[in-house]
Amino acid sequence: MVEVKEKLSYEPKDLGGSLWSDGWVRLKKNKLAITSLFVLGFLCITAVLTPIIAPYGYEEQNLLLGAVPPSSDHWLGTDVFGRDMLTRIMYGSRISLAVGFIASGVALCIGVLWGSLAGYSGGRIDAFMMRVVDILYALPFMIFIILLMVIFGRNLLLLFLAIGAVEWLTMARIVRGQVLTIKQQDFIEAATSLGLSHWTIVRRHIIPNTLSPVIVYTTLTIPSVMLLEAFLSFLGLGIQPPQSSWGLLISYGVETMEEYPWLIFFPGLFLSITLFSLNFLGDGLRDALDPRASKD
Amino acid sequence: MFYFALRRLIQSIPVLIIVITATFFLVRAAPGGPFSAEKNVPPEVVKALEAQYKLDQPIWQQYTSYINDLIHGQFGPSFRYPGRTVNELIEAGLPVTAELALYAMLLAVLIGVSSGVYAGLRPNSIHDYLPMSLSMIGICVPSFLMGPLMVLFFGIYMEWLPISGWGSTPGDKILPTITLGLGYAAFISRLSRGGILEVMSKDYIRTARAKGLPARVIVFKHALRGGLIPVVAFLGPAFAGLLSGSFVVETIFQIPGLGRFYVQAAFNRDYTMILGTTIFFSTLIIMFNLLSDIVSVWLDPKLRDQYRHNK
Amino acid sequence: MSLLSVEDLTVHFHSRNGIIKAVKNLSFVLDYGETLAIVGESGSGKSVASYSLLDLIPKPPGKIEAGRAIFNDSDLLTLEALDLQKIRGNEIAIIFQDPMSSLNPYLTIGEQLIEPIIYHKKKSRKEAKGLALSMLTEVGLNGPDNKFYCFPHELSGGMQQRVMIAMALITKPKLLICDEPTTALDVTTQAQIIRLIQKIQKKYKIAVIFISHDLGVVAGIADRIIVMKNGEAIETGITNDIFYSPKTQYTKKLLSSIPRGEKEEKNFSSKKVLLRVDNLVKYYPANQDAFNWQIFKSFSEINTKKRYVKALDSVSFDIKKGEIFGVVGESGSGKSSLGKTILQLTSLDEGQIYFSDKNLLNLPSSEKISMRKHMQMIFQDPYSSLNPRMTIFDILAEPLLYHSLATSTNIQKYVLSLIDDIGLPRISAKKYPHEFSGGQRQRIAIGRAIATKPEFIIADEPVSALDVTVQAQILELILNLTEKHNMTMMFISHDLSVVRYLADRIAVMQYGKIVELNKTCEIFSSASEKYTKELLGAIPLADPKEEKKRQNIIMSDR
Repeated sequence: MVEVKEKLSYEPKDLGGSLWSDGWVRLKKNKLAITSLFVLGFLCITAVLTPIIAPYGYEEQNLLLGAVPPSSDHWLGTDVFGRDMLTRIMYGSRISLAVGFIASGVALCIGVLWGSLAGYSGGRIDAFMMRVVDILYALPFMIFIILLMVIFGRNLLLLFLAIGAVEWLTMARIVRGQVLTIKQQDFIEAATSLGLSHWTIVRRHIIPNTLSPVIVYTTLTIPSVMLLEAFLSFLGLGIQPPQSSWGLLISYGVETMEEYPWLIFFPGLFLSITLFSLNFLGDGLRDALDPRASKD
Repeated sequence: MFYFALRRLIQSIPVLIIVITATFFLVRAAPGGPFSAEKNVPPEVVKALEAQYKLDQPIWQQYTSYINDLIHGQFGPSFRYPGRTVNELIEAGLPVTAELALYAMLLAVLIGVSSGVYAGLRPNSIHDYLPMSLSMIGICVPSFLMGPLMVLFFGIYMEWLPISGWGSTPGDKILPTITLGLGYAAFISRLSRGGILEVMSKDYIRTARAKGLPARVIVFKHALRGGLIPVVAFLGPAFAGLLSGSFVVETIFQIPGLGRFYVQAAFNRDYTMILGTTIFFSTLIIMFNLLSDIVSVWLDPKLRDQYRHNK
Repeated sequence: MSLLSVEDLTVHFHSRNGIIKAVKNLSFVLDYGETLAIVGESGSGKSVASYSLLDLIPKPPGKIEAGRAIFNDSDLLTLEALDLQKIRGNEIAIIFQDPMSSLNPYLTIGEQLIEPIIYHKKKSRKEAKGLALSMLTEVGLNGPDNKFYCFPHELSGGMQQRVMIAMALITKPKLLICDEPTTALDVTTQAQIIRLIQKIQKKYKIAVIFISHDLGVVAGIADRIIVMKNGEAIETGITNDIFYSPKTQYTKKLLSSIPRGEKEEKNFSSKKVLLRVDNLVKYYPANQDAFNWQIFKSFSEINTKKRYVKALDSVSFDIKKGEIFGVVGESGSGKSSLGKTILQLTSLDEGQIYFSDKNLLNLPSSEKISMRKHMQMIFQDPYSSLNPRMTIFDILAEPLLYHSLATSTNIQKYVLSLIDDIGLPRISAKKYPHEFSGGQRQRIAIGRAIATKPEFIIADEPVSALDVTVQAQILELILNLTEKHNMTMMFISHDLSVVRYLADRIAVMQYGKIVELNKTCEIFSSASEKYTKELLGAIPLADPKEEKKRQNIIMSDR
C-alpha cells in the first residue's frame, strides 16, 4: 500500500541553504515580526542600561510636586509621591522582563529534558512521565500559586519557581510530541541501523530537529509568563515593594485612575507593547521555521 | 463510552486527593502556624477552631477528621468572620461568580467562534486581518488592564454603564462580563481560525465541494465538526482561567463573588477560607476538565472506538 | 456531439516566488461513454487539469488563465458558482486517490452517501437512503444496512473506495473523473476496483476520465490516452497506438521504464549461505497506531484477551551470498517487519537470525556495533530518510567516520567518490536534502547505505514512492551497485513486476507467513499457491491486448 502523491506544489522550490538560513530569509520578509524584534531588542537594552540612563533615581521622591501629568521634565508624569514614572517604568521593565525570560528559561530546560526523555524512551517510561504531566496539568495551578504566595510570603525566587513549574508542562508536551514525530522518520531508523548510540542519535539527529518548535514556543511562553507575573503582582501576591514590576505599577494606577489616568496608562502601554511584540515575533517565527514550507 | 467516562472519573479522584492533601499540609506549613500567630483572634473563634480542628491531636488525625468533614460538606468556620462558616460564605459568593463565569464563557465562545470561523473562511483578506488584529489586542491587554480602562471610559467619562456591583443596577453585569470574557474570546477566536483553516485544507472538504454541496452545508456540517475540536479541548483550561480571572474582575468591579472573597481571604490570611475555597475551586476545575476531555473523545469517532476496545 | 470539449486549458499558480505553469494549452474531446486516460508523472498537471474543470483548485494561488470546457452547451470555466455547483457531484463526479482522507471521519458513510441525492435531486432522506443502500450493494459491499451506519475508519481501504464510487455514482452522472483511484490500494484490491469501475461504466453508459501515473493500470480500460508532461499534452491517441506505436520520445521512455521481463537465471547452489532466519515470530499490539483495518482483520489468530496481531508467523529462509532475494506481499503481509527485525530495528519475539554463521541475537556487545557495517537498509520514503538538518556531505560521511573507515584527512575523498557512484554532481555535497527531488534523495539514501561497503543490504520498497521514469533509473543504479560491490540484497516490494526484474528468488508473503518461495522463473511460470496466482493475476500489464484477455475477477469486497 503505497502512495505516489501528485505533488500539487504551488511554490517553486526554495533557494538553497540550510533550513535556518531559509527560515531567516522568510522571517525578514515578515515586517511585523522584524519590527517586533527591534522593539524587543530596544526594550531589553534599555532594561539592562536602566541604572545608567534613567533620568531620575528610583526612589527619588518629590512630595511637593505630587502627581503630575506628562511634562518636559517628566516625560511620563509622576506618581503621588512625585516619583518619575519613566524611571519607575524602566526599573519595572527590568523585573518584568527578567521574570519573563528567566521563568521561561526554567520552563524550557525542564520541559525539554522531560519531554525529550519521555518521547525518546517510549513505552512505559513515556507513559509514566506523561501521566505525571497529565496529573499536574489537572491541578489548578493558579490557585496553588496564590496559596504558595500567601503562605510563604512574596519571594522573588519562589515566584520564578512557581511560574516555571506551571509552564514547563506544556513545553514538555510539545517537545514530546515533536520527538515522537521525528522518531517515526526513517532517518532515525537509518541512524539506528548504523549502530549509533542513543545519545548520539538524540544529540545529532533529534535535537536539531526539535529546535524549531521549541524556539517558537519559548517565544510564546514569555508573554504568558509575564502576564502571570503581572496578574499576581496586581493581586498583591507577586513582587513586593520596594521593587516594582509593570503589574505592580498597574495595580497602583488602578487605585487612582480617575484622577491620574497616566499612572495606569503608561505601564499598561509598555506591558501591552511587549506582549504584542513577543506574540508577533512568535507567530512570525512559527511561519518562518515551519518545515512544511520547505518540504515539497 | 460510558466505561471510558467512568474510568476517567476514577482517575480524577487521586488528583483530587492530592489537591486536598497538598492544600491541607501547605496551610499547616505556613510559618508561624495558621492559628497561633495571630494575636487578635476573637476567643469564640479560637474555641470553635480548636473544637473543629482538634489542634492538640496528632496531625494525621486532624487530616482524617478534616477529610471526614469534607465528605459531609463541612468546610469549617471562617477565621475572619466569627460566627460564619466557610460554607456560608461559599454559598453566598458562588452563585454570583458562577453567573459571571457563565456569561463570560458564553461571550467568549460566541464571539470567539463566530469571528474565528468567519476569519478562517476568508484567509489573508481584510476579513481575516481585522478580527485577528483585534483578537491580538484581546490577548495582549490583560483583564486587569482592560477592566480599569473600560471603567474609566464607559463608566466615568461616558457614564454609559455602571461600574460596580452585580445585579443591583441594571446593566452592571455588562462591563465585568466583557472584561472577563474578552481575553478568552480573543484566544478562542484564534483557535477557531486555526482550526477552520486546517480543516478546510483537508481532503474530505474537497470531496464535499466535489459533490456540489452548498457552501453552508460544507461549513456547518463538514468543517465545523473537525475544526472546532481544539476549541472544545480548550474549554477545560478556559474554565480554570475564568475562575481565576474572576478574582481580578470581582476586585475591580466590587462584585460580591467567591473570587473576591478568595482574594480577600488571601490578604487577610483567613486560612480556613483559603483552604475551603481552594478545595472547592479545584474540584470544580477538575470536574470541568474531565468533562472537556470526555466530550473531546466523544466527538471523534476514531477515538471513541479506540477507547471502547481499550478497556 | 461530444460530452466534453476542452480547448486550450491553461492554469497557472501565482506565488510570491514566481509563477508555476501547471497546465499549458490542453485540449481534448470526450465522447459519451468513452474512457479517456490521462497519464503523467508528478508535476505533469494531470490532476490540476481535471480539478480546474470543477473549480476544485485553490483559487488564490491558482488561476485559470485561458481555455474553454464545453459541457452540456455551457463553458464550465466561466459558469456562475451556483450553476457549477449544480453540476458538481450531479452530472460530473470525481473520486480521489486516498479514500481514507477523502471521507469525512466524523460522519457515517450513509450520511455522506445520501448528501448528493438530497441536495441535487431534492429527494427525502428516506428515499435517499433507499437509493444509497442499493448503490452500496451495486458496488459490492456486503451487508449494506450495517455499512450505512459505519464510520469511514471502520472500513478497509478497498471498501472505502467502493463507498467513494457509490457516492460519485449515486446521482448517475454523465462523467466520472477518477484521480489515481487505486494508487493507495493493494494490487489485488486495485484490480477489483478497476473492474468495478468498468462494469458500472458499461451499465450506466458513463464517460470516464482516468488519471494515473501508471500506464500499465490504464492499458486495460482506456479507449484513448493523453500523455502529459510539465503541463503539456505530449501525445494523444487511441490506446493501441500509444502502446504499440508510440510517437514521442517521452512516451517511449515511459513505456520502457516499466520493468519488464525476468532476470537471467543464476545458479547459487555453490554459494555460501549469508543470511539464515529461523522461525521468526513477531507480535504487534493490535490497538497501536491508528486503527489499521487491514492488519486487524486479516488475522484468524487474534488473541482476544491481549489483542495482539502476528506480523511474522514462523518465517524461515536462507539467502545465499550474491543473491537478490525478493520479498513480495501486500499491506499486512509482514514484509516490512521482516526487514526491520533482521536489521534489529525492532525486537523479535521468537526465532533466530544467523549472519555468516554468527547468531545476531547473541552477539557480544563489542561485535554488535561492528556487525552494523555489514548490513544496511534503504528506506522507502525519500522525504523522511534523510536528516533535513544535515548536509549531504555529513550524511554520507557519518557512517564512514563512525565505523572508522575513514579519517578526517581522507574523508573528503571517500565522500566525493560516493557521490560519483550514486550519479550526482559533486557540488551536491554542500547542499541540504530539501534541495533535491525524490529520486535524487533516494540516490543519497542509497549512497549512505553502501558507504560502509556492506555485504548485505535490505531495500524496503525503495522505488515505490517515485515516478515511473525515475524508478527505472534508481533500479538500474541499485542493480549496478550491487554487482559492482558484490552485495547480497533482500528486495522488499509490493510490485511483482519490479521484483521480477531484479530478483533471483522470490518469497511471497501473506498474513505474516511465507506462502510460496521459489526461483523467479518458477513463480511466474508455474506458481503453485492460490494467493500467488491471485497476485499474479492482478498485476497490471502494460499490454492492452493481454489485459483484455484476462478473466473478470469476482466483484465483492474481501
